[in-house]
Amino acid sequence: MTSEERPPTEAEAREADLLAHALEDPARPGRDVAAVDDALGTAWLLRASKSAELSELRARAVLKRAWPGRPRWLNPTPAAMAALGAAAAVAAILSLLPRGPAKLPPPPVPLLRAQVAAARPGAQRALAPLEAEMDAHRERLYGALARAYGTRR
Amino acid sequence: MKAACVWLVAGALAGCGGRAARWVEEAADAHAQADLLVRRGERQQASRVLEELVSRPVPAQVAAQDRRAVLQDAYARLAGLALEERRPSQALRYADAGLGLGETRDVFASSLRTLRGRAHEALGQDAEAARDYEAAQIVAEALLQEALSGGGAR
Repeated sequence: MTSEERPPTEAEAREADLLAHALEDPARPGRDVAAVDDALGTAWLLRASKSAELSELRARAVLKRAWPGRPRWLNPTPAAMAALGAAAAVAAILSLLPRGPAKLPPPPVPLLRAQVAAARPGAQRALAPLEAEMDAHRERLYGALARAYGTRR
Repeated sequence: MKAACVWLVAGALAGCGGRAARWVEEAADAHAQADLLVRRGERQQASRVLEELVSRPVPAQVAAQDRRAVLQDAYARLAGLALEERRPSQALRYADAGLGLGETRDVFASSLRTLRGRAHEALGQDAEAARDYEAAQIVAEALLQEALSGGGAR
């Protein structure tokens, strides 16, 4: 028979009884709990750790005491949160829709003249001026797109 | 916690709106890089940069007109580079891809028609070349007429 299987001694039973009473009714005066002091401390610690979570009301109370001047908007009501969520959803949908087209620059006359000159058989040399004009037009094109789409340039 | 969620949503929204802007920036960067490579005589490398641009997915927030302008301009540049490299078949493919995005009366479609005509001409396909040159001329002359009379052609 091991020590755990043996029935409790009279002293152990008395201590257990004392511990149980001390936990049930801690405020009773004149009780001598010195014999179970260690066990009682451990039991209180366990009980305190179990009830350590803050309820919503307690959390608000603690926060109010710790930060009395906290702005109201940081503590929004459910209705305000719902409105904010709806606004965010609408903004998300709008941001995913295609935009209106950018106002692209009109092609300048030299570019159009270069196009007319290049669009005929055997005009191999006319491609170079057309390319140069298109390069300049591209600069303007990307400038307009940058303004329309809000790029960092 | 709630404030953190709000900031998270706001950040995500800013990210969505910025995709189109980023695409425009990347396209401009690709052309700048291609300019540099062409100046160095590295045309094939420049073509690769522009090919990467046209194969990149376009964000849905980009308006169809702007998407077409950017891509058709890039395809026209690719076709021009292929012609300089004496690869008319490749130039034809680029021009076809650009025109396949839709043809409106603007400088981008007109350029692509001209370059496709040049590619057909280099391949000995004179009838097709003539058709493309004619189409390019019609658009360019109409735009020129508008520009000279003070109209706002694209």
